[in-house]
Amino acid sequence: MRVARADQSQSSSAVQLLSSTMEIKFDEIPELTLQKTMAKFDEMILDMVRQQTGFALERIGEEIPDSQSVDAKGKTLDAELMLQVLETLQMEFHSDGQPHQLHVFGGLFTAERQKAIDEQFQNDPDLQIRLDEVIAKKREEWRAREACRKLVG
Amino acid sequence: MLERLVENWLDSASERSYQRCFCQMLTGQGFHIVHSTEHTPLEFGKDVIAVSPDGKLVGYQLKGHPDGTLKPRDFDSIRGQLEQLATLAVAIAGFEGRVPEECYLVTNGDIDEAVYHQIQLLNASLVQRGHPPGKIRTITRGQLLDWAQSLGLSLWPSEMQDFGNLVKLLNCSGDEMFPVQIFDPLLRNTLNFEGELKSAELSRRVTSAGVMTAVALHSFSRQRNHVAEITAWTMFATYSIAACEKNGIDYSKHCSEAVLSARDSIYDLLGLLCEEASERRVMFEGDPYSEFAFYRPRLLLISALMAVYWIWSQGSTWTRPHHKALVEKLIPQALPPRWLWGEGAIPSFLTYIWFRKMVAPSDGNDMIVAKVLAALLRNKLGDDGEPLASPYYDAEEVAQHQYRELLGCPDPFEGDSFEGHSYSCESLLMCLVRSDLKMVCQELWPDFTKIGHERVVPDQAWQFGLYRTGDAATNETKMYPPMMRWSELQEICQESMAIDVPAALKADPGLLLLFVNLFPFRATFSAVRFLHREFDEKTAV
Repeated sequence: MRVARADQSQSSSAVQLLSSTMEIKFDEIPELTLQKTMAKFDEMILDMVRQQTGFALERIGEEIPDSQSVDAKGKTLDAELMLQVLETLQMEFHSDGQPHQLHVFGGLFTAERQKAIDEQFQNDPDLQIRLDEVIAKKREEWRAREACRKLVG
Repeated sequence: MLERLVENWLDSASERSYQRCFCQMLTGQGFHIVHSTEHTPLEFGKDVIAVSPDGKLVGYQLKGHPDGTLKPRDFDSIRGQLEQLATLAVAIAGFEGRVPEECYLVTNGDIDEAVYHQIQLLNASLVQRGHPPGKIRTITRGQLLDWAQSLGLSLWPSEMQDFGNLVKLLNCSGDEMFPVQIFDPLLRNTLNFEGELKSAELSRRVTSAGVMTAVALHSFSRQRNHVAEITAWTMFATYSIAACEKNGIDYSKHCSEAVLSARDSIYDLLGLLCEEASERRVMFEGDPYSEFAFYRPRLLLISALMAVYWIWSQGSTWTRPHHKALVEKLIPQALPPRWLWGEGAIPSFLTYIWFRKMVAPSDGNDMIVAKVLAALLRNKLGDDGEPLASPYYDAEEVAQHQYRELLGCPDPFEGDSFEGHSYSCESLLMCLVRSDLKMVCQELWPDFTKIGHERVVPDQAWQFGLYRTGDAATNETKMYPPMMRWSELQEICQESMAIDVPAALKADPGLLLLFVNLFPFRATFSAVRFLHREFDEKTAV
């Protein structure tokens, strides 16, 4: 697969074979039930999903430029780090000005930490103001980018 | 087992369906077909005229006597045609004034002794009029089966899976879409795409594939399913071209006769489709209760096929001149509402537009393209309904997806998504750029740059002619820069080398146009730029 991006950068990737195995031993057969068999299937499916996820993240990691990366440096996720992430990322907006939903993934973004961050923003007006300012700035950047979509000359 | 299949086919084939196989068998023996038509008023008893390897002009009169014998009472109606065949000069460019030196009465049945006697008498009367002795000869069921055995069967793949696929095709009811996914491995294996071929072997295998195509189409020919027959013969042509190009063999020397013969068959089938469609007040087919899902896709496809027929005929001559008016009446001046059932409809739409530009040039045609591109971009950006399916899905699969809950069938789109990328927007924009509609393009540009433009580029050009390329192709996604100069875009759109299309297919743009209509996923940006140059610019009236 080859991708030619708007900034003229290109990348190519080949197809990679992922595989997983499921084993049923002869000794297990006398005691095997539907539930136990399904558990084995689930295990195999989970293994495939893990491999696919790892593969996809590895590819994404390879392709993301430094300008769009933030190093958490071992810290846990908090409002400050979240603001840093939002400052760094290129954000997209819908035509009504609402930001596209941010999809997060990985050990840093536990449900517990995300809830804690929401509370931090709600309870600290200064943090909320800074968040609004970041979003407003990103919206302006997006508007400027959209205004540049022109066929000229 | 295969022999029995072929016998069964020959014993129940109509004159019309075995004529195509007969032509392929003649080309396999080194004959050059100069005329093959199905009952035009001007044929004068000559269904097929060919030049033999030693330069003789040979005429054939084909009769269908499936599972029967040609009796004297049948011969009464044939005698006149045979006399015309033997005595009248042909009116074919390059052969004007020549009378066939050999003539054959061909039947897929047997011939009664009494008929042989009458032929002898006819030959004797021809000798008295200065013709050579034994001018009219016969080819019957036994000889046709021998030919099929030596030219076709011996090279058919013998694996059980291939045999199963052939049986599946023969068991089709014949009124469905031609199952290309079943026919594909049969052609691949007969033409030995896995191995390498020398020229003589390739020629033999092409003939063998031609015989197989005729046999595989049996159910569809019986149902007069012209679109299915056109699809299969088009596959035969493009696969033969692919085999030639893959093996680096001179196409004009070793393959072109068979492809031209298939092309003649396709042309005749387009004519038959024209006649059938002209007889219908409403172009419906099958069960009227399911027509709401299929009527519009069918109307678009028939319009496109008729446009191809018109373009082919205008490029040479109309074999049936009265068809010109019929075709022009059949193709509507405006497409019906909601014709855009998926990106698979775009090649048919472009063919329709190119036809309209030739018969009724107007700026309005380009504006229709602009409207379609605008609608497709809105759709792909998620602003206008469910994103349209990629050209890899046909109208039947789109209907299955739309009505899956009602039908209780699996979703053919499962695991696929069509938002944010398109296979055909680049081609549509190219049409507007080449028409110099700068302001229209400027208006569409912001949306155009927001989506990914997909292309599938075969690793080797010969793979373009196949139904699937498998891993032997690269998926390319192109995002255009937000800002671009008009001149840069013009430069991209002007390119029309189509390096990913086989040379022999580029040498026959009409066949390529038909191919992308039947296999819309092959209407790549590269192929459409080439076709646009051929049909939108050069031939515009």
